Amino acid sequence: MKILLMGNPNVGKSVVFSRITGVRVIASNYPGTTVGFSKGSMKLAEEEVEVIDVPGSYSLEPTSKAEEVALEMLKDGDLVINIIDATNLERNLYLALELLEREIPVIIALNIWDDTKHRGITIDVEKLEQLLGVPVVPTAAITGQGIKELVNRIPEATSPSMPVRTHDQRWVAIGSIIAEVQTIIHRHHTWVERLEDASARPFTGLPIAALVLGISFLVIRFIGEGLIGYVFEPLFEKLWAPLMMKLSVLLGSGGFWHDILIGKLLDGEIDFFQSMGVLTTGLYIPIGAVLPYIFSFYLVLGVLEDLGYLPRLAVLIDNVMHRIGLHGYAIIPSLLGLGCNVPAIMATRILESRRERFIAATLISIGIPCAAAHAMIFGLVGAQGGQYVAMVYGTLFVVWIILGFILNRTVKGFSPELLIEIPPYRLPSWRALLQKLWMRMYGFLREALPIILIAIFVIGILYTLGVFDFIANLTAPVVSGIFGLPKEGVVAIVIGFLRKDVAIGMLAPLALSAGQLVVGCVVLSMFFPCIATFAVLARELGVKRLVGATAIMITATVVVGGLLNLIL
Amino acid sequence: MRGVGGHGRNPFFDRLFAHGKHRRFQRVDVSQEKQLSLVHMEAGQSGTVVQIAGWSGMVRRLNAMGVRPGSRITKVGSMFMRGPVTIRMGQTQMAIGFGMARRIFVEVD
Repeated sequence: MKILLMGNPNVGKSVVFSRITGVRVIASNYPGTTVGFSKGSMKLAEEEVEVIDVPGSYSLEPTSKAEEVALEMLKDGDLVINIIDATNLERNLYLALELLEREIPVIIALNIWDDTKHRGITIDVEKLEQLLGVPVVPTAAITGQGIKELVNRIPEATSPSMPVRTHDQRWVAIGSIIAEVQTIIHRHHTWVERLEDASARPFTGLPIAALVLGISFLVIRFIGEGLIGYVFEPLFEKLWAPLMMKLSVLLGSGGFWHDILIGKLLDGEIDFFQSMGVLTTGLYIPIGAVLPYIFSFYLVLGVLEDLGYLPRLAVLIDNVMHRIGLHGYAIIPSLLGLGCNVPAIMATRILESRRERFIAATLISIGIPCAAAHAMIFGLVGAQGGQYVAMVYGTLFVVWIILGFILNRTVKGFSPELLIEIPPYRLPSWRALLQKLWMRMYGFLREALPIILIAIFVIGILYTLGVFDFIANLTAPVVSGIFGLPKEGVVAIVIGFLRKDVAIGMLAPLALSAGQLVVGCVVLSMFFPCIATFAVLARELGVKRLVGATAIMITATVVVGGLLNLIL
Repeated sequence: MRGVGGHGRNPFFDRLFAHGKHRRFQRVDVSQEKQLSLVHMEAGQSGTVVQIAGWSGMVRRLNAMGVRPGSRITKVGSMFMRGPVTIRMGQTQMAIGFGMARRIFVEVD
């Protein structure tokens, strides 16, 4: 048996899903958090049933890829739990009526029930149950209130086979239902609502946005650098390095296994960036260099997500985004890309047209550096001075804008208009926030750690075989001629295809000048995304468009890398 | 500071933004009319949607989100340079792109 969780965007489906299945999924306070679907299972009357968290949709006539996914899944579901935002009953009932017209048993959860009271809303639940002909259970998924009753009443779900109505008839029906079950007491605007309004107006909204983004950036750097400087570096230098030195001696300070596990010693010491041993650089890069930024970035992003700030940013930036062929909402996948490009490209599904998804995904994979790339940029270029770091990010930003501008002019079709619901500001729940952060960090370690270890292992072997010298000589004209990097730099670019962070260790020993480092970092960030991003791009865009995106990527990298080399 | 976010009260902001922004629509003096597009409404004004003069896909999307003739809305503000218009409808805030907003007509209270 398959149970589907369906409802409008941002009504808390993912939270209900986590509650009833115990499966942890990412939930946020903006419409379109869930774009794929998550499966879990629960015990129902001694039977194991499948539960699916379906992307949110406003109606059963799809207007975006995420809504298409929702409709497709409805076809092979056996029962629907329709999650309704109790503070937005009228609008949510539209999808409910559409579902009730179908031949599928439905039970309704009136979620966000805890919010109705202070908004002055009262809903007669029994009356609503009578009128709709299906069980209706008030819930507050965040706190867990009502979830037990919801699960207990699942067997009561029925299909009342409502008459099939037209749009207008549905709204008329909703109007009469609302008149019978809901009363709203008028009350004065709260300060939260004033803040909501202020964030939507340009003269107050833009300064607020600048403040929010500025603080976010400072906090991310402060926490990230703090963790590296006071926790991870001491941990590796004081605890791990002596251990590894003992192992080094044990292995005879040289030989094949020594070079694979410990790597090269510099002046008789381990250099965690450059040694390139599986147990030294292989562990240090993901845990010591990237993880702190994963932590600080996703902590701040999580707060912004759960506050409900991101859609407001989308509104403010809509103007600019239209110039690059997107609308404001594309800022959300782009921001996600600053953590990892993989979920970011998945998130482009919230955009309506294929054209927008192509432009957004291409721009993300080329112009948005991920956490691994930040570690590379800060680790390598940061030592040369802040102005060079700014140069790397500035270049990438300009590339993002100009490329978007060009794509907007050349890719056929037009960009749809922005049309989004802006969620109310909500105080994040710390439990949910930390759980989400943990999932993202765990996800990073699970995905990245094995690849990095294997990559460093393979690099060690290829080095001993002399394969890299062969590649370096072959590509020397491009790498040295156009980018002005030493020919060994190509190894970093090739390895960067596996993971960007491993490339740090490849560029570090080359003793590049500051200018060369800037070129190297920009080229590495823009050129082939890591293999995981590539796989997602292929799945989301299809092979034909992937080839297109790749061609754009190569051209842009060569042009920008060459120009930078000329300038610097 | 009524001019902030909207237009019409503060002569400085009026000159700077309102006319430039909607130059195309300034041929008609809209101040006396009761039916305005969302774009022409002022921040803080409320009214009832009377007509959505758009293509069917647009009307369908708006309908599904609850914006249809008869809906009560309040304009919160709009971004300059043809940016989206933000409205409040019941308990929800909603942002509507300029191109759509100018096709939504509202009978102002």
